[in-house]
Amino acid sequence: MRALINKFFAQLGVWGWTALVLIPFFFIMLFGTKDTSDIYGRPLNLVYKPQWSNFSSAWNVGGVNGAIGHWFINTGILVTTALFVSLVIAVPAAYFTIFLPPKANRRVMVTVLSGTVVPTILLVIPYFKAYNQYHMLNKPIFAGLAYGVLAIPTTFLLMNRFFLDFPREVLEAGLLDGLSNSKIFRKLVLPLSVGQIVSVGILTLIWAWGDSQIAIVLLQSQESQPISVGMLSFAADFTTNLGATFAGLTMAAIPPVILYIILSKYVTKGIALGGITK
Amino acid sequence: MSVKYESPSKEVSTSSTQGRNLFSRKKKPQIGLNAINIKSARITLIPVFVLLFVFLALPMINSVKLSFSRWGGLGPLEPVGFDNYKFLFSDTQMRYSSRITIFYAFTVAFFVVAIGTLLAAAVSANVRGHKAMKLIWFFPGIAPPTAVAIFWSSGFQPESGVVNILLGKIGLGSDHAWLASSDTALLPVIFVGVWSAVGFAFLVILGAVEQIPVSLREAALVDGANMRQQFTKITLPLIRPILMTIFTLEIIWTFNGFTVVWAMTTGGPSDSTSILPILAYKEAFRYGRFGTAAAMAVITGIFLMVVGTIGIRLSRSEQQ
Repeated sequence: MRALINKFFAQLGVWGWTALVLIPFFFIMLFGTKDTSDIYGRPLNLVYKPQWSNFSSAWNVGGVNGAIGHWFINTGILVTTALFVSLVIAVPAAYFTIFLPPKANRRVMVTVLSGTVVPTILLVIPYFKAYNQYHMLNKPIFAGLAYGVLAIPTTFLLMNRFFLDFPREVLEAGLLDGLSNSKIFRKLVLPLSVGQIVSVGILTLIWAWGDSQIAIVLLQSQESQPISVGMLSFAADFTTNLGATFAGLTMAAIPPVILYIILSKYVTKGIALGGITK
Repeated sequence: MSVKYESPSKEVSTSSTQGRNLFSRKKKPQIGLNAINIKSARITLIPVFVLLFVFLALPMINSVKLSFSRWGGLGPLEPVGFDNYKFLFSDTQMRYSSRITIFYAFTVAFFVVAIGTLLAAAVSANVRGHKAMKLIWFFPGIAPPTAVAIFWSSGFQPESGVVNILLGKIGLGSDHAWLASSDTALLPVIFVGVWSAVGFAFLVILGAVEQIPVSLREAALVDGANMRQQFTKITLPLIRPILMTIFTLEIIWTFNGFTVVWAMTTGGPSDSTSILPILAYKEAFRYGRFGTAAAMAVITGIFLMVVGTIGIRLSRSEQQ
């Protein structure tokens, strides 16, 4: 009997949390397709005529044609740069480091690890100063560079741990077949590491996509903003047009969730592997 | 140097097998593998350390330098000694912000770890629908923080907000204006902080729970323990190190957490939700007092490093 009651409360708890998690996503999509007067008048009514014009108003937020489109492009440039920098720099280094003597390998790991604990707040003002001095402000590609470098420590640590467990027999077989060391890395190791690289890359992508603390400082002009910063002015612009606000939130929040559902295998793996070092 | 060198996986990783090491020692091809690759290691590590130096070490040094100066955003720095720090230690807003930042970070971290642990326990006990829930519970972690923060801040508005509408439906009134009052504005912010961080903590804790050998838990059941005892006597003690780690990390992340608070309240009303990162941001980019802002950042950084070191020490000693 006691066990049954326990089980009942456990079930109740998980359903409750699931509902709490889903509420925003449900209402973002519901209100995004509702007329504003309907949102105020009959907010919970599920039978209504969809108001698709909300999306076109949201798309041209602030009277700028295709403003959200620009933000998406900026986010795209920023995230792509960040992924490119972090992977191209960190993955080969993480691989070749495994051949260092264990002591040296550990010393490299500890040095890199210390890079994961630096608080962002200590960095943004010097970044602003330097970017301003070298005319790199308001350019998504340079903001992406900063995000990419800040993602290097996590990328390096997770890949290094993965390569350490890589079967040595494969590398030796490559050597016996007469492949050069860089060919072993490119032709043998990389293709077998795709899953891990995707997992680690997704951690970087989630972070760079959503963060606003660095972007708000380095990308200040309206036309250079990524979606995470642009959205901030969004709510203020649409206090009277709730429908459009929620249509905008739908466009910003739903694509990452769908991408996550498709790639959830990699996301869960990336986190289980030690995403906690971010 | 490569001759002395055995397989690094023997030293560092736990998953390598004896057989693999024996095999590689007999054939000895790894001498060639290592000698050339050590050179590649040096070459590929250069850009890593150069970039980390330029983007992490140099800015930190610059922040410290800036914190001893006056700078309005243009021109040369004007050294002022400890003036910025002296000002901050006597500033009431700074004191208030430090207090609420610590309160905010510890409260969020506590609830995140508590809820994450309960959810992980429920899922590892195979509640119905746990596969789908595992997927859904990470939605808040994946959606852009700005978007969910804007949703919740509209949701907490009186009458028109979703939270108030739903509370009204169950008879608890629909006119709560939490975000409008300095006394209560921090509560919704804490709620959203917890809401968006639980999914991640849950996945990490679940990973730790699943590493506990099933035989251990089954043995407890055979010995007559019920589910709750099994959880408190077996699972909880074994995952305590990871709980400590994730608690520390959540404190650090929440302490640093700019986006959720900024998108919900921009620090208001009247700076009642201005946690330190927001206070520093406003100080620098709204009021152009970069020196005091840098001093705030340095104080925050020192605090976080202390918290981080203590947390890592604690979780290490628990592991032993």
